[in-house]
Amino acid sequence: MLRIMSARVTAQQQRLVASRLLHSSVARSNVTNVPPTSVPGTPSPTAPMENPTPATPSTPNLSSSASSGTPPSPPPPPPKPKTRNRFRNFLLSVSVFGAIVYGGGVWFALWNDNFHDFYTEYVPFGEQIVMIIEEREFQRRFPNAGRKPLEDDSPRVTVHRGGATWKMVGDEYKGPSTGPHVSAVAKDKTETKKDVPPPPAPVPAPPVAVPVQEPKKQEPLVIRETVLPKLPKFVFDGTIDPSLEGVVKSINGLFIALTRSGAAGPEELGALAASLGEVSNKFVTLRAKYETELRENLDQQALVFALQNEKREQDYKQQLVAVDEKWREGYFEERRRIMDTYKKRLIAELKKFNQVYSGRVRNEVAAANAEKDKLFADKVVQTVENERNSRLSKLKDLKAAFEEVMALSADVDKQLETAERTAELQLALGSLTSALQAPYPVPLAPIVARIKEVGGDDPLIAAAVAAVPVAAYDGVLPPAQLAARFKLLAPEIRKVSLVPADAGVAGFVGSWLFSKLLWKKEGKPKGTDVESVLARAESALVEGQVDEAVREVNSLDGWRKKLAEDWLAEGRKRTEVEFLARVLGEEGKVWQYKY
Amino acid sequence: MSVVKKTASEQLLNDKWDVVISNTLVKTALGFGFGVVTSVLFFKRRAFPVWLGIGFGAGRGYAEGDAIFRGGDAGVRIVNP
Repeated sequence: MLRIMSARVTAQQQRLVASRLLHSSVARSNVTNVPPTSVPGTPSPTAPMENPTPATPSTPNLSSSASSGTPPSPPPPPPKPKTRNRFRNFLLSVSVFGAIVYGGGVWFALWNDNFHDFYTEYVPFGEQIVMIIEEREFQRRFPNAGRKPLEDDSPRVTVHRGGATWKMVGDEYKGPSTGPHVSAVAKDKTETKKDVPPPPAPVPAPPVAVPVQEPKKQEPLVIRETVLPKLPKFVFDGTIDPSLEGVVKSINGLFIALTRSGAAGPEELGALAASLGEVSNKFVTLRAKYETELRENLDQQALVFALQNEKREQDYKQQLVAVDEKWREGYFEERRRIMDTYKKRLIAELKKFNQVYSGRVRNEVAAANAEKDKLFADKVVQTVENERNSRLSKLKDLKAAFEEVMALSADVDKQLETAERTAELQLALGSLTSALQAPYPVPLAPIVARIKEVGGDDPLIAAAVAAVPVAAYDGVLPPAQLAARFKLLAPEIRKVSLVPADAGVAGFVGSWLFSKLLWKKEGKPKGTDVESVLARAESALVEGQVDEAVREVNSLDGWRKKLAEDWLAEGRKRTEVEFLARVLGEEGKVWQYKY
Repeated sequence: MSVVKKTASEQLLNDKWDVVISNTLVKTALGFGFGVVTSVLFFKRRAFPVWLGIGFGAGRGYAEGDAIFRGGDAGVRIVNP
């Protein structure tokens, strides 16, 4: 809808623009034909009134044409009609759209039942419209349909769709618009039930027959006294079915009406009454026949039901028997299973008990054996004691004598051991002496260890061994090597013989130069100068008195002693070891005298 | 780790002499080098800056030699092996 409106608006705008363009072109052609009388840029005061758009410098010709007095072009359509057209178009389109929608909806509702429901329920006024249309359609189809209300007291016979019925219409008549020919909507169920002919009264089983029984009409079936006594009367046995009273009543009324209207004479009515009597007789016969058949059917059905019931009972009994059998089998199976379980458990218990009992018996046997062994041992001990007290009593004397012999033997052994240790000590001391006198350094560690071992707890030997310097374990230099190293050391000592204390480069150079001028000494000169000391040490070394040479060198000082430190250490080591060897030799002699 | 053999006591002085002489030579050479550079740069290649540098270097070596003999380690940098 909006789209349609917008399209229309755009179309109108385009039309407006086209008209303006046309107007401007016409004006321009006028301008070209008529020379301008006014100067461009000075528009006349009337220009803005004729032209709705404001005068701009780009349209000077338009104002000039307006001021020139030429006939103006037709003005563009004012905006007011535009709005009126728009509103009119809107109303028109709404009306057309509504008509289409409602018309299509009604048409489709008449055509489709589902849409009919939807339309009548949700579309406003849809139900009324559909009702009107349906009413008109019905009127068109059935123009003589009874819109006129029936007379209240006039009974009438109506023909049902399913055929002839004895039922009165007057009670259920609601008007022509609720009939099946008017609406396809399903009728009320109670109404349809009433239309169905109920089963006959003698049958007691169906409860539908109860509402059919209408005992209110118990008066004689000759309902209406005819105005004309000559008229035939339709008589019906009302004991068969009292509900047929209405039919009889309506037929009699029909007779009266026909007679009044003069449409039929008494003869026709008599024939009609006779035929109706035949029909009623036939109806009674048919009804009796129907009742008989119905009763037979009911008996057959009762027989069938009884047979079925008996069959079901038999089946049920068979099922009960089968279930009973099944449960019995299950019970026996379960009992057998439980018996097996208990049997296994009993066997296991018996086995375990056997094991426990046999173990206990074994333990008792072992205990009896142990008791027997103990008794036997006691008996042996007792026997031995008896023997000892009697025949073996002299063994005590023998034991005393034997102990004396043992003590003597121990003394002898001790003496022997001491002597052996002394001999070993002498042996070790001899090896130490020979090591010291060897022409090359001999390792002293094993010899010292042997002496320590042999010496045992002798304090002197232990102290002497502990006093051996650790540096001497690898051996000491022999005197010859000490003398050779001293020969190498002596020139170095001579070089620094004149160095004063805290000397510098000049002091050392001077000492080196002036020491060349010193006299060399030999033998054992007296004096504390370096040359005398060196001469005495050398003489001692030649004589093999290492301790003397060491003492002489040790008397040096300053750089002289510092240069001789290594030689002094070696000499001291040898001197100490020689002294300790002498001490150990003296102790070895003491050992010889002691033991 | 290599084991440094201890110098024998009679070789102590010789070691010191080695250090002193080498130190003096190095310092003298340094003085000579400075002298040459100074002579070239500032004194139009005259000889006296060279001699002066040599003197300074030798004097420095002598002084450090005295210190070395007296038990110090002046001018000598002991590099751990």
